[in-house]
Amino acid sequence: MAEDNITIKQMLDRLCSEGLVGEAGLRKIETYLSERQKRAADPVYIRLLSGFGAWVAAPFLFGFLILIDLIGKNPQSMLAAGVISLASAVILAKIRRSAFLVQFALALSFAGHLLILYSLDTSLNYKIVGTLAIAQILLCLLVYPFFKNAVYRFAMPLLAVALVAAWIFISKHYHALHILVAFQTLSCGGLFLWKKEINALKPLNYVFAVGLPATVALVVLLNIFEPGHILTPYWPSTAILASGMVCLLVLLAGGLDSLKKEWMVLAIAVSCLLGAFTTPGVLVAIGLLVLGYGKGDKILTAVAFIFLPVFLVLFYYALDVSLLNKSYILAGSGMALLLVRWALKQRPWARELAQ
Amino acid sequence: MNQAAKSNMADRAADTAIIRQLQNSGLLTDAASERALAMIRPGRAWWLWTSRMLLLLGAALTLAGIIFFFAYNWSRLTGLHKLGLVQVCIIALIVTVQVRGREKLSSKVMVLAASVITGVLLAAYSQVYQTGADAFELFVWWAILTFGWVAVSEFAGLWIVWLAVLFTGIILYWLQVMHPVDKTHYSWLCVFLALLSALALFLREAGLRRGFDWLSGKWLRIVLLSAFLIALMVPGVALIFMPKNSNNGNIIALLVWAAALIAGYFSFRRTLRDMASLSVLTFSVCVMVLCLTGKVLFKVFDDAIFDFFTMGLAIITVVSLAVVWLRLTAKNMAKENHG
Repeated sequence: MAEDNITIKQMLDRLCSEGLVGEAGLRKIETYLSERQKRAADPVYIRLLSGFGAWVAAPFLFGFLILIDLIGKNPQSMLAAGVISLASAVILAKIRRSAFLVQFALALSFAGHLLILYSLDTSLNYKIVGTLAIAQILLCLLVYPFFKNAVYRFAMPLLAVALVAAWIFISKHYHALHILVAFQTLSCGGLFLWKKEINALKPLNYVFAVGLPATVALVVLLNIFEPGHILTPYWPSTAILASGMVCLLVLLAGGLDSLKKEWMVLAIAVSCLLGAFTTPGVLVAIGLLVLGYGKGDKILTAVAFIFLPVFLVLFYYALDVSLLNKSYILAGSGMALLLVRWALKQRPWARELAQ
Repeated sequence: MNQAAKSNMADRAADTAIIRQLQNSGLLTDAASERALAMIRPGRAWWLWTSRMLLLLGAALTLAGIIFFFAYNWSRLTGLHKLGLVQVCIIALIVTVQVRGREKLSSKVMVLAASVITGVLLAAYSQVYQTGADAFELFVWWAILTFGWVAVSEFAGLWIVWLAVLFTGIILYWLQVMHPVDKTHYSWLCVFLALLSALALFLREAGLRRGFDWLSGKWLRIVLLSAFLIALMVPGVALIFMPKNSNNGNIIALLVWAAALIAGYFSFRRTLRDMASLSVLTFSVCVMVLCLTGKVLFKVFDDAIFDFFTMGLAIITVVSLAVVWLRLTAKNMAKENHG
């Protein structure tokens, strides 16, 4: 949005003329770009289709393995079948000869995870979600480095986050959700803002970008489930997110020096105000919007726009604040943002920029 | 090295992702990448983005606050207050738009707000006067009353909201009148909704060709195409799994779906050259083929083990074929574009 549309060639020419890239460097970049074009990753729609196929196929493979007598309902054989499925998936993914093998490997990996978790669940009499969550985290740590598939690297860690959240919920240690929010805020910010981007960790970035608003939604939902009780207050998550937002703004603006700028002080003040008055969901959505624009990432922007209305609807049903106060909070926050926009537009530097 | 490939890539618009990749690969120094980022996204771009986001979020939160306020005070407000306050809001918004001019983004957001509040006004009206009217009337009148604003707003988001209101009205009309009174089959409703979506899609494409740039968002095409296909696939899938509950409407829906695939392929592959839309078409083919495969497998072969295994493989095969075809098509289209 509102970017200056220049081509890569024009950008490189300008860098060359400013002495930031030499002739030899330019040739290397051209070679890199042409190589990159040849081995370009699949676009999002193809990855979505692959993920859909594997997700739908996995339960059938899982069902097949359960139905054949080889496994039966014996947890040990289920565990063995799960490990074999995962190992086969990793080997198949290394071959990567055809789309079929890649798909098959993906479906096998999902089925493998399901089998291992199911075997643990059966042997533990379906009681200990925490064990499943830890097992899923360990499995991801073990398989992630070897199974180079973006869909797997997104879906399975996300399942781990979901299991951790479910564990906290079922064990009724509701305050621990704020720790999960803090962990994901740090991970999301850290992974996206790290100077050197690590390609292998990219899917993990999105796990936290989706997991964070989902966890915040759970914090809000908790107070809807139990009328009359505040199972866990919002303020710890709000404080974490507001601090994260301030750090994000400072880092995107180029460091602590930016604190001297007028617009930066205002941006931080608005973040703190939103933190003090509004719901944590709105903060997380705004944070993702800023991060998405800062990193030129449309997926982050889409996640933010999907979660914003979800948070507004959830906030409507939240019971710790009366509907009248909710209306004041929302309308007040909205008017504050509009007022900030109006005030900013009056500044001389903003007028210059707008022209 | 292929000179054409070099130039193809270099002619693409520079973005943050490519700069980061060059920096990560050690081809751009930190200083060079900072400078490059400043080139593609100068302070002006940040300011415009911030200004738009403040406007959109500010308007969304204020509107939500107003709706919450009405919800809280609903039982305490007199009829005059309810209707009067809502009407004052609408009039204030429209007058402001008229004074500021319709072209500004803030004005478009205000028209959207006025359209949403019109729904609140109708809800208030039906509650104050207890007309006993069916719920579909509220949505139909909502769509009729706001059509004028929608038509002149030049705002794609408002068109989508308006279509959602209209579709809700039509679905409620079927639920409250057509199904209970006339016993109209649901498949006819689906065909009708599909045709409406197709009309909207056609108008979007035609409008774009006539230079209506506000229709250029690709998401609009994807949303309308998806609505069109889903409306046709519902009776199509029902025909596969519950043929006894189906009628001519289901068959027509399936035929229209097949015709749409052919027409869609040629327009999105040859004329409009849009891979995302081709992917949506491909996805719908995958769903229908897999539903049919599942039905045949589980009906013909009464062996659960065989069925589960074959179905798993069938899903992987169909999706793999789709992925291969999409990759090939994308590659060919890229070649043709630079040919």
